[in-house]
Amino acid sequence: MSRCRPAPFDACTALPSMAMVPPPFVEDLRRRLTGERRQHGPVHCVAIICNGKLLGWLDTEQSQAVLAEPSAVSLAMLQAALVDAVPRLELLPIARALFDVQARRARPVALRPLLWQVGLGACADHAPLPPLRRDSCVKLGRWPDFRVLAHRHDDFRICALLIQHALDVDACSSILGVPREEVQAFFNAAYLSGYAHTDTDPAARLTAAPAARAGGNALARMWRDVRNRWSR
Amino acid sequence: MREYKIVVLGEMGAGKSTLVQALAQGRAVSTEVRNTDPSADKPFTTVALDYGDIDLPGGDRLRLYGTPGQIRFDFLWPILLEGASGAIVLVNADAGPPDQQIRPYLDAVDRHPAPLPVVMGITRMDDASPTRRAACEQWLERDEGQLPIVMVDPRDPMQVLTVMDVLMSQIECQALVACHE
Repeated sequence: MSRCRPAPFDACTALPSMAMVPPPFVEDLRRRLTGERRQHGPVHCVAIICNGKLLGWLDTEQSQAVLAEPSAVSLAMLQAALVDAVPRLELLPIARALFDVQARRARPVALRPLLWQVGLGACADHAPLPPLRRDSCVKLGRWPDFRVLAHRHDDFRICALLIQHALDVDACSSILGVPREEVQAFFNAAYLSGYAHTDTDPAARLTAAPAARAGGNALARMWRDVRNRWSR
Repeated sequence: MREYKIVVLGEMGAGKSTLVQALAQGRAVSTEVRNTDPSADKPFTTVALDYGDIDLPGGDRLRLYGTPGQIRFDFLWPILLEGASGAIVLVNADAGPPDQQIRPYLDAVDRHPAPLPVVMGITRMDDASPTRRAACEQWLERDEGQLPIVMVDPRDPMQVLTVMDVLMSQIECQALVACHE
């Protein structure tokens, strides 16, 4: 299958590498996803390199990726590299023409769902995906696009909370009553996909206790009962 | 007994009546009559409102109101929104530009005295012409993501439940945050 074969990477078609030290992979990727301009102007097409091995090509403007290996293999390699103690992933700017060539060789996949999946499964022990820390407060800048993302039932609740308030994993887990590992996986996915950002100074601490008195909370709880009854 | 209210808004033909029927499990009161509006390609339309309800635990009740979509009935929207816990705004992908389509309904929601949780549902994407589908996708690309958007076929109860799940998540979390303000 041609799409499984690593495609040749012509270093001559890559844009000149930047003189400055490249930022860490996750931050570099997020900057590109959120459209932040680089010192050398917007470069939307990049190659992902892991220890000198080519994993694929990304077009952050069109939100597409072309993988050099079958997606399950690329997914696993990316997940392993993201949590590696020694940073070894990098993004190398390439000309759009090179991405277009690769996109003709193998069918591109949607970038955000790919990153979401990578983020969900990146940390097997439910650890934060670096540079996130255990106590990082995270806020959503926008609702993730659930038209294309696979979602779990509680993801909507996590979104609805984080779009209003920055929280760390423990607080979010305790307020919503969602297992900590599920919340951490969501944080990792939302951060890697560029939907979430860290907030070092959340306005106020939310706690779980007063929530039980809220009318909206009662309605939501009753709705879950109804839904469970209907789903049986 | 406590009562809660959800209001469904959107253009004529967006699927409001169908969505209310799906949630009320076919027991909704409908005021559909033969459509005499030549600008809308649908045989029946709602002339007053759709109403359905869902029994909640403990004898509480969730009331669902589907508004008439025509602009000439806009005086009804704030009346129905009064006391609502949330709103669903449906966008017909096979009708005019989505941003123009939703504006009157979101304006009505914005005029609500308290911030109202809202979810937008895009309907009839499969029926849409390539041009309208492209317009809808471009609109989604430009959208800043401050409201959740869900694709929904109002005839499919499971998809309708997902819309409600998203809305209920917002209702719950708005209440949680409000407790701390």
